[in-house]
Amino acid sequence: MSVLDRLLAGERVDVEELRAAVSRTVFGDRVGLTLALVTFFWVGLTWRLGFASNDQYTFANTILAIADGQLHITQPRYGPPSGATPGTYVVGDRVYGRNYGVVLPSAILYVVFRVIALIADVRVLLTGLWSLTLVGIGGAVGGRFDRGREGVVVGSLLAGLFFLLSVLVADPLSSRWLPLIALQLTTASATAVVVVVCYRFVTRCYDRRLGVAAGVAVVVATPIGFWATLPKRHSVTVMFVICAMYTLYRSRAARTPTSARRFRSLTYAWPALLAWVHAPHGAILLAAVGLVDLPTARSNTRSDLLSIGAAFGVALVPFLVTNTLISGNPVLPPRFLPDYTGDILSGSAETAGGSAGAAGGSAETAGGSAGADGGSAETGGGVVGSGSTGSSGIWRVVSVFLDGNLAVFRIFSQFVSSYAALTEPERLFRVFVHTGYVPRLRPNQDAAINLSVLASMPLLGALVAYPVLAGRRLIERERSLSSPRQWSPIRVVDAFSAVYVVLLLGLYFSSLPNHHMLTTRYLHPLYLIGIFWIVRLPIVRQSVATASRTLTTSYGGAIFVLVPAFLSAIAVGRLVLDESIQLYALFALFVATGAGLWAIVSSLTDGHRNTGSIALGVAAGTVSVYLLVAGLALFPETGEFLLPVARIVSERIHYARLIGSTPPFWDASQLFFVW
Amino acid sequence: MSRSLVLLFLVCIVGSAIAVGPLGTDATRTSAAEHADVTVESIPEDDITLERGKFGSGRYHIDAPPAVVRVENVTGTPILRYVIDIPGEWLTASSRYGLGGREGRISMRPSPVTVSPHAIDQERYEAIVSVWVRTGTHERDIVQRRVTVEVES
Repeated sequence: MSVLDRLLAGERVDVEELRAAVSRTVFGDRVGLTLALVTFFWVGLTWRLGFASNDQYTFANTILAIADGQLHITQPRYGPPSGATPGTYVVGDRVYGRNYGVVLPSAILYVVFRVIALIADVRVLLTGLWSLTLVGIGGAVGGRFDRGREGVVVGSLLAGLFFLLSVLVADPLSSRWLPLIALQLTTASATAVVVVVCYRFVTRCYDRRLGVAAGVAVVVATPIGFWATLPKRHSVTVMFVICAMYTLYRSRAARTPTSARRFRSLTYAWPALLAWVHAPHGAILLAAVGLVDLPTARSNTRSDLLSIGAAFGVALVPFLVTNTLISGNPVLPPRFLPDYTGDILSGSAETAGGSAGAAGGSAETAGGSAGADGGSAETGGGVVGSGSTGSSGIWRVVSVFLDGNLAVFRIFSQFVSSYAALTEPERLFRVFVHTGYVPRLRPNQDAAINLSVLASMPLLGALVAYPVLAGRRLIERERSLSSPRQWSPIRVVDAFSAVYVVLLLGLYFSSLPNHHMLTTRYLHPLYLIGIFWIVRLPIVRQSVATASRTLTTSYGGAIFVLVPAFLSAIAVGRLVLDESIQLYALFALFVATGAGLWAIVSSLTDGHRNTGSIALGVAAGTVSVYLLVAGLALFPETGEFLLPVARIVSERIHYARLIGSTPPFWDASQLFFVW
Repeated sequence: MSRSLVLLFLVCIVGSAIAVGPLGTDATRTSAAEHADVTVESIPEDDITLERGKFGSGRYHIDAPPAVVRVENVTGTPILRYVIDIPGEWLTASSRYGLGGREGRISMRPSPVTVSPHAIDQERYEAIVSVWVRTGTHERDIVQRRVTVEVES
């Protein structure tokens, strides 16, 4: 009997049991916990302190407002004094932010940080906790070879050394960064959840080795690692998508009907929670879950539907409450309110002016503003018009009805134009294969700093195996047409992934290519689904199973060779940001082509496992190289990092291209680091 | 064993965090007077170009040989700024060098800012190359020179 059942039955559960149960629910097992530590270790390396896009000012201002006990911004302390940053909306004479689902948990962290900052340095504390991940990782890696003890000792030595070094070179952390760090910790934690759930999901479908490979690949071989510490909606969106995939799978693979129903209901809770962060994303997730779950469920009895509805309804409460407090309309999220343009708060700010780049020298902003965030779609289907719980009469009802209809019309036209745009070869090429310089973008937004989907994740090149496999299947006349209700659990998730991606493309494709996409971020969940699709390829699974050592060696080798190679190319060629990124894009395409060629040959011949491991390892390593170099050398907006040592490294290489010159961020305290 | 090790580690972390934090640090004097003798040895004049980015990156950036200065008698943490300004393009490439604790030759390059090809409509632009030093709150120019920048594509 599970702890949950015993709790529900009113039995006593002691603390140790409860702790074990919670840890099992969150991490699954020790490997899951280790993967969470690996995630924090990895994203910590490039954890930059700086406002990478303008809407992060909005989030920071909203956090301060919430810490003061209100949802609306009264004193914009970040960004322009008027407080008019992307993602601010106006209702009457009040200015609101958005993505409250991310902002609210961050506000709690912020309050905690602020209290800590009264007595201790938050940076030193977080650096210490980061060092501790080394102890955990050391122990786990040692344990893998039955040397757990030695592993812990080595890990502790490294951690101690690193921590000591950090304390020696640490500057005190300005309290200015606390809201940002709170946001980053929220999205980094979401990324850790993505990694853990992905590991658990793949482990359940296949085996643990593949699960670990998939979990690690999510954060080191896809842009999910890139956005982990850039606090926008992306990490959280991906988290809810993988949760939905996992619980959908469990609902089909469950041994008991009770457990099946629980997981099935939970699958509907994720879209509702996601709506709190980003309503259109919540809507397409709900649509994908519904479209796949209802026809494939073994039964859709009244009590099944009731429990689904209850889970969805409860999870939707934060969304409804927040909207009611802000717009007065429970189903009208901030994103669809009129934009704030900066007349209300002007003059209220104290010292906000020029705060943007104050912390460091020549700020190298990542190409213009974040811009309007594309999604101009209202929540679809079930949410719109589901209730006018307000009580101010007929006008309220009419306005909710109109809002709903307008939104439905907008979402419909967006999907139509997106699917129409899918027939334009040039656009397809720019979005999926190579973005390059896009002349039709506005002159202040046309920096070629954006990567196509394939360049963001060269592993996707292996997906060309699918048409080949489909062709083979057609020739060999293998057909397995079973009724959807008899589908295997993984087949249900296959269907979900396909439907979800189609909806995702409908929501965003017409607005691509766009500026400040960096990694075609509007299609961000595609990278998670891509990992799933790659794992589903038999040739990939065989490669990981039979040649895992080759895989890790080629991955490590790629990093070892390519990081210095990329940095030297930047330094010798004296490349500016756009050039560096386009050079990487071309190389990533080359690697993706290699992975694709292998996938085709291998699925035709059923061989080449070792080659496969090399191709996959290099493709994964290429992205890791980009994450490291971009994080430490290309995108440090202010030169400030969470880890003091990362700042030192960045200073050494950020201006590598300015040969013979010395880093601009320099002070005497680092003299002993001169080499 | 590992649990007690982790605990010990945690105690160290918390201890250091407090020691570095507001309770631990006691105010010490910093030298308020700032000074540096800066001599410009060479500065690019006619060899500055606006170059189109390689690898299909499209936008233009400033390319110039480094400016070399000699720095002596540094006290405090003055800041050296090297600026290439092209007013006709609204383009300013500026890089900053903290001088605290260092003397001798420093060679400087402009920051790698870029400008859209849509904005380039001439073959050459007037530009101003300058070197500034900031001591305390006071910033003064060491050299300012008007030059012509050629557009190369």
